[in-house]
Amino acid sequence: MSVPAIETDTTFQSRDTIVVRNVKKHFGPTRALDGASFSARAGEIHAIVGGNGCGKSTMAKVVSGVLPVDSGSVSILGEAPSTPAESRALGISTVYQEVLVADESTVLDNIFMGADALFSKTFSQDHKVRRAAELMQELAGEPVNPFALVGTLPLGLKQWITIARALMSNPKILILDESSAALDFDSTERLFAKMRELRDRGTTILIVTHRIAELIRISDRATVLRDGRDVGVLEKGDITEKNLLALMTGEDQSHRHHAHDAPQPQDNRPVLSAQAIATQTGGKVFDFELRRGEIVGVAGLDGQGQDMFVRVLAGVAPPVSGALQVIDRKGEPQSVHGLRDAVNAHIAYVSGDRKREGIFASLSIFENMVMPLYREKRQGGILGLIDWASLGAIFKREAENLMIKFGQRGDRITSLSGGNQQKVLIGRGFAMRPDVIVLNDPARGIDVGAKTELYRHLRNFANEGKSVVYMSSELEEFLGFATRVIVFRDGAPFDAFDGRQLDPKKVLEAMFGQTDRSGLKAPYGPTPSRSGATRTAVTSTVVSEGVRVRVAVPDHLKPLAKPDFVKVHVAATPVPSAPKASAGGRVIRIVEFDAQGRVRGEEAR
Amino acid sequence: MSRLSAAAPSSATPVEAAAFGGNSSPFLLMPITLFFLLLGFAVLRSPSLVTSAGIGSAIIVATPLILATYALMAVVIAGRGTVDLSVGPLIGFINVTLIQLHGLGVLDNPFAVIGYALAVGALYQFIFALIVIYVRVQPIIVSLSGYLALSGINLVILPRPGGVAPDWMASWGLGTTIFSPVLLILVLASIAWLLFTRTAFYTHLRLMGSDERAAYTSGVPIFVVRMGAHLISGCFAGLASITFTALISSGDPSQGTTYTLIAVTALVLGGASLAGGRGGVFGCFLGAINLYLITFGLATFSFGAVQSFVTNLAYGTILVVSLLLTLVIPFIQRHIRNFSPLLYFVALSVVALGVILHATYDYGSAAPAAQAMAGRLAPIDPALLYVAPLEVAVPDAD
Repeated sequence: MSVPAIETDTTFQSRDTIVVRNVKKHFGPTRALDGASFSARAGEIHAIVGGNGCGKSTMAKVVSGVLPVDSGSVSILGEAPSTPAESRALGISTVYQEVLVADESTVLDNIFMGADALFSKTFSQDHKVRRAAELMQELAGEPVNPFALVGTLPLGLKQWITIARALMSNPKILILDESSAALDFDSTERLFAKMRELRDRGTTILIVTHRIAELIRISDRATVLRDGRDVGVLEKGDITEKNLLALMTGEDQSHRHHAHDAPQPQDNRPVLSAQAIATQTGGKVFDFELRRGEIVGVAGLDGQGQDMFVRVLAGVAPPVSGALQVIDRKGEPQSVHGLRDAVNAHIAYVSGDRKREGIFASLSIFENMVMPLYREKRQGGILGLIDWASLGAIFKREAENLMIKFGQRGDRITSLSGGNQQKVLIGRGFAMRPDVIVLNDPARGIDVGAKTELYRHLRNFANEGKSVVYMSSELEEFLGFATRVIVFRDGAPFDAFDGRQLDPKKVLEAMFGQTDRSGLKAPYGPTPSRSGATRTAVTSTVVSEGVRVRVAVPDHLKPLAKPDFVKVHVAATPVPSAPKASAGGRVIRIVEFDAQGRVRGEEAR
Repeated sequence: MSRLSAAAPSSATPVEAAAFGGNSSPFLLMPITLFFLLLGFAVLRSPSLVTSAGIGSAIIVATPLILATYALMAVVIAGRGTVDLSVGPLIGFINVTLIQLHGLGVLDNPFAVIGYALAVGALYQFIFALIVIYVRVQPIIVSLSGYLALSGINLVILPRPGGVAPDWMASWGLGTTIFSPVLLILVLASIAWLLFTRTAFYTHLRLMGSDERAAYTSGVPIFVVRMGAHLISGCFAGLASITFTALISSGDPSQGTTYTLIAVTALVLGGASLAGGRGGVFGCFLGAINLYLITFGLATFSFGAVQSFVTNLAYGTILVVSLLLTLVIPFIQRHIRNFSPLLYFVALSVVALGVILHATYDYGSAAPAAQAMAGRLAPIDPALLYVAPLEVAVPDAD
């Protein structure tokens, strides 16, 4: 084989090959890296790990020389490469998260991409063919024709090609950014074997991943990032789920927010339900129900199907199997097939991907907001003239509600900041007067002030009895905001959490698949039991005192604790201690008391 | 080591058919099929095509288009949707400046003339590439600006057709025999490209055209590669202009411009991908020749005043139909793993040869048939071939 002489000295064990000091990198208002440092040695597999948006992928790009840093220092083998070509010359190979292959070229050319000098070839053709065939056989576990066009191959093999390309140059430093994403179990095993082999030869391997189980098995050291900073380095023996999650979540998070403020549904009537639905090919089948007046948070690691789920709910994408039903304003169930039905059923969709799924960059702020109302505001019969005056009123109302800062309403939307653009899009959603609004990571790239206003607005919306589905990649967003949070994993709900007792740490653990999934069956699960939440809250504290029934009303039910509401539930609830006769015509007294047992009020019926 | 050499025989396919993916290039299927259909049709209509003079004249008329298509091909492979609309006016520009400089007595030597044409073409593409690479304007916009600017400049330099080509070039455009300097230029240009495809630079070019980000992140010097593609394109445009000048033996400010659209048609017909990464001289050659055969075949019908309209209609129809037929390529790919364009070409050649023999063979005995055949054997009136945009300008009476 043509592998160069193996480095046999043992001194490499202590040599730092990658030293990153206090690196900062901003993308607009987003601080991807905010003073992160770490170092990796020769002959080790070093993992960079953290939750969504902690900056781990940015770190991989910085080390591989694709992204220049704003400040701080990066030293790789004593140099600071600034282009991929320089990195390559230094002996750095990177496998990126995206599967970067040239579809129109052969497997051979793709594997040796960048290996040749500008005009001269580094290896003979025979040699290349032999090594490519051999390496692909070893990695993919099956023969691959080196002359096959890459465009004709399945995704898994394309991923192997990018890995083979990185290995082919015998790198001193190998960076794998979520490289096992498209690989199945057996393939991952082969990749690990290859990684260990390289490590034993003195290669520094940097892996960026969120698959904790894999990371624990393969890595020698792990640097944990949180909010763009490094928060700890774990040595081999200390790399456990517990330690990693403790570092990833931090301990100071849960105290800042008031989780019990989360809005609660007014009743248990569903507004949207999905039975035996699958949103991803090959994904599990599950049920989901959305009630009036609640805000459902949807979370999950990148690419676990949560994104597809909200798109299906909004009718933007069709479900793989199963169907969606909406209970319309008359209380009739209507099935939803596609976007048209969803719009007719008053479901609005707001995407966080403003550029691709939101703004019309060449149109005005006004048009961007009222656009979906054109059809509704037609007049003059066949002429289809648009009633601009009423649209103007709607625009004015939404712009004031959302406090959008703009110059003239005829200005192009691109003259606004990202946060204000997002507000216009949310205004577009509200302008349609929906019953359900589905938001797909709307807070991406907007500042804290705009976020707070967005939450306030959505809470008001939910308090009117409307429902919100809110997908976010930042867990902190759900605190004190979401009624319940559903965590997705492998295309289906993995666990669910009650918004009143939301612990970001638990949610993060669920995202990594480390919880017992008890939330799925709980009243706040994907399909809440019909009278679930309120019944448990009330019956547990119903105390019969003859003609007096003491009912504890939790704080979150306060605005809803109208007498008839309570009465109905007392009568309908088969609690042994509750006197059956009390509901049957005799006068009862309802005494309301708080959590501490103090009597708050008494009412005769 | 020994295990390796045993596992990898030196044949081109070390892995058996069980391996994933085919290495076929089914995009040549359509141009090859079309070529033989049109050839058969044209030969049956007018057997004079396969005489020495017929082939000679075909080469003279089609070569500028073939080379213009090569010029487009070199940059379209580079990706970013680089369809160089300015290739026609560029050919015209080199033509009119050449004629004017020759008229002033500056350019006379064959080497100087060819060197001048190549240098101007490459220089233009050099500027083009600088704008695309550093200003990051979309190539199609740059090429459109070049199209408009050069079309105007050409008319300023030479307001109306005229001037004379260098004396040594005068005989090139006669097209009475197969072998001519024009054929030599075409063959050399094609061989040069085929040799180029053996280089690492060409591999880089295709990789970049297919996925620029993948190429960049793998350390391919994409700026240099893109620049190289443009320079090659400029050289092809220079050669196209030389053969164009030989064809018309004079200067023409607007004739060259018509090459743009027809060269793009030939490019697409030849199976190149406008998205980048795919294209070759064989496909481009067939694409251009197919257009010539369409012109030739339709010229035998004498449509009179509407000749050129009918020709354009046929170009458009055949282009659309051939693109629609490429939709079946995935199905073909599923059944034929290793489609060999060469084998297919040879197989159809045999059939075409039979058709040609049938069309040109003097069956002799049957007198009426022979008479009819004699009538058909008579060469086509050249005036019928003078239809835009493959038209041959009638030399000025003076």
